[in-house]
Amino acid sequence: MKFFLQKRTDISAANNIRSVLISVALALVAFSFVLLASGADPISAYKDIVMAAFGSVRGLSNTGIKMIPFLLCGLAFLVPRKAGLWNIGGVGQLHMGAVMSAWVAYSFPDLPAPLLIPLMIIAAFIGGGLLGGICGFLKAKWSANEVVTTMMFNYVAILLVNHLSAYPWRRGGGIAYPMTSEIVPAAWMPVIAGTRIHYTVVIGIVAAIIIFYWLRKTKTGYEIRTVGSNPQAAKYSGISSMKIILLTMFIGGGLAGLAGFGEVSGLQHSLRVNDFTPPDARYGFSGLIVAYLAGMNSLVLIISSFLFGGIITGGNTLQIIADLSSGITGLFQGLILIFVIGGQVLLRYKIKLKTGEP
Amino acid sequence: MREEKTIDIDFRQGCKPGDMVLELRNITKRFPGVLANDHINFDVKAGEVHALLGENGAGKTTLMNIIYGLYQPDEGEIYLRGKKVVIRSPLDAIALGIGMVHQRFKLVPSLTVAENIILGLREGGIIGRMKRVVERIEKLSEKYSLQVDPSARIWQLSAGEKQRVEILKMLYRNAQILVLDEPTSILTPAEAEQLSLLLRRMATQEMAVVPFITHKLPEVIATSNRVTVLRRGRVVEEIRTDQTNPRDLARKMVGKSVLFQLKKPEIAPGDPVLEIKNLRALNDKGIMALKGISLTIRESEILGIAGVAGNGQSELAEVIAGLRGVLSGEIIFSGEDITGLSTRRRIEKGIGHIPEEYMIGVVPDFSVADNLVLDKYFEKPFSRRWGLDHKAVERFAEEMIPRYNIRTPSKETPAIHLSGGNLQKLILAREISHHPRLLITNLPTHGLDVGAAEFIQNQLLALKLEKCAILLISEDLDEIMSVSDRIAVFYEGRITGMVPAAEAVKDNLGAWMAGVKL
Ligand SMILES: Nc1ncnc2c1ncn2[C@@H]1O[C@H](COP(=O)(O)OP(=O)(O)OP(=O)(O)O)[C@@H](O)[C@H]1O
Ligand SMILES: [Mg+2]
Repeated sequence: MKFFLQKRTDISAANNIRSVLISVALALVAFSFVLLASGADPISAYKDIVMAAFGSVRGLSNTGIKMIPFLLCGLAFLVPRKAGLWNIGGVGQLHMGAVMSAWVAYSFPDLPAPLLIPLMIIAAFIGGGLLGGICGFLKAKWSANEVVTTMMFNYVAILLVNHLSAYPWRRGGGIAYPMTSEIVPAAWMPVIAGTRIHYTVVIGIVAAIIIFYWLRKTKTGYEIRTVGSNPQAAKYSGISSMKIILLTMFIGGGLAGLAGFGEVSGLQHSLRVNDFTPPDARYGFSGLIVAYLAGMNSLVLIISSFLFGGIITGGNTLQIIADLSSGITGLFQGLILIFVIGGQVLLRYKIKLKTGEP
Repeated sequence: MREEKTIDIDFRQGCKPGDMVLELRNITKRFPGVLANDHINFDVKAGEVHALLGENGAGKTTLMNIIYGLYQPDEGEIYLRGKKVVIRSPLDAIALGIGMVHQRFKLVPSLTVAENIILGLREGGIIGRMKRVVERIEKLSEKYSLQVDPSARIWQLSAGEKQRVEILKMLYRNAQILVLDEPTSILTPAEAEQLSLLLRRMATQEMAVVPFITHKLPEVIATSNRVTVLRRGRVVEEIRTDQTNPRDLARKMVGKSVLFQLKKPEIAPGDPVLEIKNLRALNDKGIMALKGISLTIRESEILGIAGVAGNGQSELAEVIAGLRGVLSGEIIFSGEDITGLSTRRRIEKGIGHIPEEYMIGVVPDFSVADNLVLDKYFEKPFSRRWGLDHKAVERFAEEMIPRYNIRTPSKETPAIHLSGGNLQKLILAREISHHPRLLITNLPTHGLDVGAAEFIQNQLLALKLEKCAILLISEDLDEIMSVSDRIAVFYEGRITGMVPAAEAVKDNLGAWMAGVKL
């Protein structure tokens, strides 16, 4: 008896959604075994996760906080993807945005909030955007593989934050842990009353909606999709791939940069090593997961990043309640990614059982 | 990866000419919105070439893909030497001795010929073994006179050479039934003739059994023993080749008489539209492809470029369209030097381009409607300030699809689901409807059925009434001679001869094409 893959001829949007839902369900089943092996009861564990993430204002607040970087980093992956590019540099671009907004806050501490915050936003977007844009340039000019370059820049940007928080911007007062001093309150992004969710969430949602229409309804969107689907046809119709690659990598990087702004201005109020890639939620990398969960649709991304934020929040709580190791949420994320990507393969092929003679 | 199996059933043993080898019974295949195959019966006998004929979109490729295991039939059965078989994948097909050469090549450009041939097989890898692979390829290519250098890389090869690699690939896998989907559409007449000979020889001597798809009716007559004609997914007739002729076949295919008659407008050429002076350019391999080309095309004039593929014609088309840089020389369009202009600016100025391969001209994931505006989405009425007017795009598609008889379930169908000939019609519809001032057409009717080809040729002729200048590149001398006003012959990047079409003699053109100066 043998299995083999057979190409499907009927791939539709409905099939796509079904594939994602089934994949997530299977990931949940698989994770149950991990929970069982760790001595936790899966049913009550899942109940705990849902309650912790969505069952209270505090839980929703934590979920919302996590959702913001997921959403923006998801967009940062999705936009270049539509032009056929793999932006794996969400982490670095996020750090760069964080550095830039902190720099603005330190440099202009006397500006009023309505001026300072927009300035920080712009700086973060440009910072992340340039980091992405450089990789785009290297790709367009010398066909340097963007997977490699964006990944390399992740290290550059993370180390830059390390350096800044340990030396030039280090907070005085003998704190053991290297971190920068707090930014002025005028540089703090306001939060939704009663929660800790900062208004960067609105920026993220609006960005997702704009990008949805931008890709579908505009000339530039048409050009991006053409380059992504058949670069030869793009050249033939006079579309500049150079322009499209630079543009999508800049916008993608800029959006991840906004996530960095959100973390500095809305949450941490300083730069600190590890703050932007907390081990439980590697935002930059997770952008890829939420984008796949959303079937590369930026509107669905709003939902998938919210759910994913919930998974992380719930997972953290679960660690405490069920006394599980801290790697458990990472494991769960990994399972979801494997199942969703596996589901994408099965969307294109079906598994058939081979019996008897051919 | 699973190991590839060798043949289980070698039906060449104890097989006499005329024995039934492959039989398809009542094959039905539906796609969303189309019945591609409707209860088709089709069989292949040992020692014969069975041609499959039909309009664009009639379902020929679909049927062959079913034989090769790429699609599963919704209904019907396949018998191999009387035994029922289920072919679930190309691996199954190869195990049964069935090989296929596709309408679009499926080779990896950056790999060598030998590497492509063993791709997917558990062979090679170790240097010593690779030597044996090369030896076997050389033996096969000698036996079937399919000359090709096993160490050449695919991107360096011409279409004809790629074709040979595809066939060798199947022979290497011991294919006994060779399915060929439009193998001659992109070949030069000489190459096509060579292939015909090869097929005949294989069929009679080796009893390899060859179903064969083509749109070139004389080729059917010359190569095949039997013909099956499909129309809209159904078999309309199965006939012995010696009992029919091209005209008869055309009528069966289309369902009405094809006139084989072009409407040539009587109109004198006007002012020069395109003037090329001493143009030199490199090809992809960095070799000089155009060695000082000078020519002029006037309003309402069709200049035919004849020549064996690979003598610089495609490079000339690309240079004029702005897809390829020039080393020296000038391109003057309506009195203006456009040598340095971008492709987009040239499109805006009214230069249309029908590329040699249709996959260059379409975006496979886009709908038919979106593809129809690839050369004009940035112009009115489709373009608004930022946006695309989707209503206008749809209205345009609704107009073009029936006018150019593009067979598609709907205007929203992704282009990838169209048949080869219908993709070509889509590109032609798009470019001709743009009312170009200069139209560069490279093999415009390749892959089109006789009816569609004639329609397109008439459309090109009608463009003369709009004062359009046309550069027609074709390897089909009959097409060149019947459509053009003047004919230039290319050989190794130079023009070896130029005559008014009315005075052209086929033999002279042939000599020029071979580089002989008269
Ligand atoms: N994967 C697919 N999905 C949907 N429709 C398809 C698919 N493949 C083929 N079709 C449709 O089936 C019909 C038959 O297509 P097929 O490719 O077999 O035509 P053909 O006879 O080979 O034409 P041509 O001469 O143009 O190559 C067409 O209407 C085509 O649009
Ligand atoms: Mg076909």
